[in-house]
Amino acid sequence: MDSFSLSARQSLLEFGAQASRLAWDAKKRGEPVGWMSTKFPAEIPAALGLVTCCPESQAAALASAGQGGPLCQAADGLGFCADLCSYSRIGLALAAGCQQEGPRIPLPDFLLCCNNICCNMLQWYQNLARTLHIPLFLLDIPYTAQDEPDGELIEYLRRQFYSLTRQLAAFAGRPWREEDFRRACRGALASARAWQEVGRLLEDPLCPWDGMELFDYMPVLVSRRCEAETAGLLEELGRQLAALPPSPAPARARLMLEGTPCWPHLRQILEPLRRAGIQITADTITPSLGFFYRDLEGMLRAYCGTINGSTLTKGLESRRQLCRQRGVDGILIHLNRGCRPWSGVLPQLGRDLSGEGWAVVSFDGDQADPGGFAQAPYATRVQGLLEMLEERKEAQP
Amino acid sequence: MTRETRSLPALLGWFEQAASDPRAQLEAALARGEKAVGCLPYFAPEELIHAMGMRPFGLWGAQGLSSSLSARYFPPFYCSLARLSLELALRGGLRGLCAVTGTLLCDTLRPLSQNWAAALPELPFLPLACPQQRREPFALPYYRSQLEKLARRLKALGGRPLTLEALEASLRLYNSSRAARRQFVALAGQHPAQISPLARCQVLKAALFAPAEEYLPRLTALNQELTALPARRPALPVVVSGILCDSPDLLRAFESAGLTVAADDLAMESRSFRVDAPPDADPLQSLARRFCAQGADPLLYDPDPGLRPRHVAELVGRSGARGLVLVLQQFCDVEEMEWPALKAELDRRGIPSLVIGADQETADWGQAATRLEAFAEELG
Ligand code: SF4
Ligand code: SF4
Repeated sequence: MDSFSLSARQSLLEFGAQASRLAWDAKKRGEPVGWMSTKFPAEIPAALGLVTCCPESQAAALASAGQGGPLCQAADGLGFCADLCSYSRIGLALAAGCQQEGPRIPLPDFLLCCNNICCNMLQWYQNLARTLHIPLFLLDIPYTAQDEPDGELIEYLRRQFYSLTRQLAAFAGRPWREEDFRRACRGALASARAWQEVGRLLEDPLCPWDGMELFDYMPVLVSRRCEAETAGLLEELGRQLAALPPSPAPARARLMLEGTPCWPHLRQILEPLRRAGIQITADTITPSLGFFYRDLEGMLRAYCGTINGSTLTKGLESRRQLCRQRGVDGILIHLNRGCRPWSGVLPQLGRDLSGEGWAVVSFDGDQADPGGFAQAPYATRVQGLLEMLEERKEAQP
Repeated sequence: MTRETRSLPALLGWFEQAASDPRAQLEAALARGEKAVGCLPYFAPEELIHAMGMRPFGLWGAQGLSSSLSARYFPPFYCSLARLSLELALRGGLRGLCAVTGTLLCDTLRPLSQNWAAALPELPFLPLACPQQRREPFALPYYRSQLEKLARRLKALGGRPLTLEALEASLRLYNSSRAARRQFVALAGQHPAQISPLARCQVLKAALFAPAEEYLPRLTALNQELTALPARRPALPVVVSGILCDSPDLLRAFESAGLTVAADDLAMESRSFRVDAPPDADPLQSLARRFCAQGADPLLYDPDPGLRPRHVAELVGRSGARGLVLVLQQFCDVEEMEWPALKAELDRRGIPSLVIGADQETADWGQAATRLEAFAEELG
């Protein structure tokens, strides 16, 4: 029995895959379907029973399925410059009906945009609103370059929240009900807690599965985290994973993957690591979908604290903590060309982490455009990382 | 000003000097005992800095530098405005500034704020967060609170306490400067023989570095001189769009191709002085309202997504331009993302357009010059 054959895994994957079927069903019933940015407070549409899909998740899925290249080229053909964020380019190509192959999500009837992870999100969604002639509902969380949101920002967000929920309720033709919102929040919190517990299993030095598997469940966290059954499914996954027989020996080294995975080349990226007996036990993305809060203010605060919404100081602190908890020896940084807010801080972040004693190497790539990655330089970097890890091991008393 | 210094060549010489040697302007401010604050793009609240007795000093990258020290912080493909602003600071070119301030409205400026803090702890980066829901009533108190926060930090760095009278006076001065620049833009389009594309840029760019008190009387005088001359319809007027277009070689290439700038949609030029601070009993509120009244700008959210393309197309029509040239900063996602929609609107109205890729490190504009010539032929 291994982690791939667990019944809880199959149930969760099926539950995640259902999201797009539900969206298609809603579309057939004549209900509006929204496109929502990953870190938009999903609690809001959930409270109103609005059905949403996430084009970033869809772009990641299509890029993994080899569709990143054709869709990025299609975006080029629409006039979008090749150095724009590739998730956005794929989203724009999907909106223009350029998809030829692979699973589909319905075109949106409305947009839910939150710029808490990047400014590009707003540019992208404005463009979608412009070309598709559909309403855009914005929750503006400006980047403040401060470690914590100040009271004035929270007040700005609180008032936006009231205005946004009023507008969305009018759009949906349903009343905004506090009890529905609270139910959605309870669901999201329970999912976040269960998700955190699954991640914590990687702290065990003899954990028998690889942290990259967590990415398989991301669509669930993105699209269905507010639903009542999600936490139960995640808890069951946690139980089944915890019951697996432990590895006979610790991995040769434990790595953190920094940055969005390079989906088009994931196999080539992981293969040399696997061969060298390396386990990925941490990453920056999967923990980022657990938002913890007690009340509305707490929720708004939590949504300010995204990876790219944080300062370098805070970002360093959260990585330090994660690496320590997960017993990380080295860090593999994906210098993701298309993501400006992220790639712009990675050189300094990498230096800071290396200054704290971790073996750090970075490689060039792109999350969805296959053209951003080259095998030979990657192999050299991984070789360098392995040597660094070996040296450190030898230097240990 | 004497009659001599009021003459057209003398005035243009002053603007050229101020625009092409920012360091001299900074040294002069320091010699006067002023504290200077670097203002990164975009929408810097210069009036606030000025009212606190400090000198706003524009910081829009740097011509003629190339990334070496900043390469430690930014990948090489990154927007040159961010790379070279940091480079200039790391090489000591901003010695004497007491702080820099900047809004964080694009995904390049976000990391710039962080890298700046990491690389230059001795030159504090004072962020100014800006709301995008500018048309909603709750944006004003938020933005105002951020201005107050900035004022507190400036005061801690030696700025004078902010008084209503001083801020009112600064708002008046900057409103007048903006009005004069708008008038100049209109006049420049009608006087291609006197105002080349390069001279036009220098006149406007000088406002980034020269004290507003010195800049305004000269620009007023220049406007008077131009008003007194007969207007002439330029042969090939165009609108220039983009973040900035200040490379002397590129501007000479416009001139060689016979193109004149009828109007601009540049962040460093007209987009920065389109909107005045409105009358308000509370001057800080007025300054906040000025920001919130901005729109049709690719960095800002407009609830009407069609506003921006319409605005640009109408600018071409209003200014009598025959086409539009977008000077696209490499790796500027803001401009790259909106271009297809702008182009579609321009095409729909039959307005010819040309995109020229630019980077502050570009040394050879030969290809751009050829394309401008071909564009001029197409327009001609
Ligand atoms: S990959 Fe980066 S730029 Fe693209 S949507 Fe995500 S955060 Fe924004
Ligand atoms: S040129 Fe573009 S990418 Fe660079 S700072 Fe300006 S808006 Fe941002």
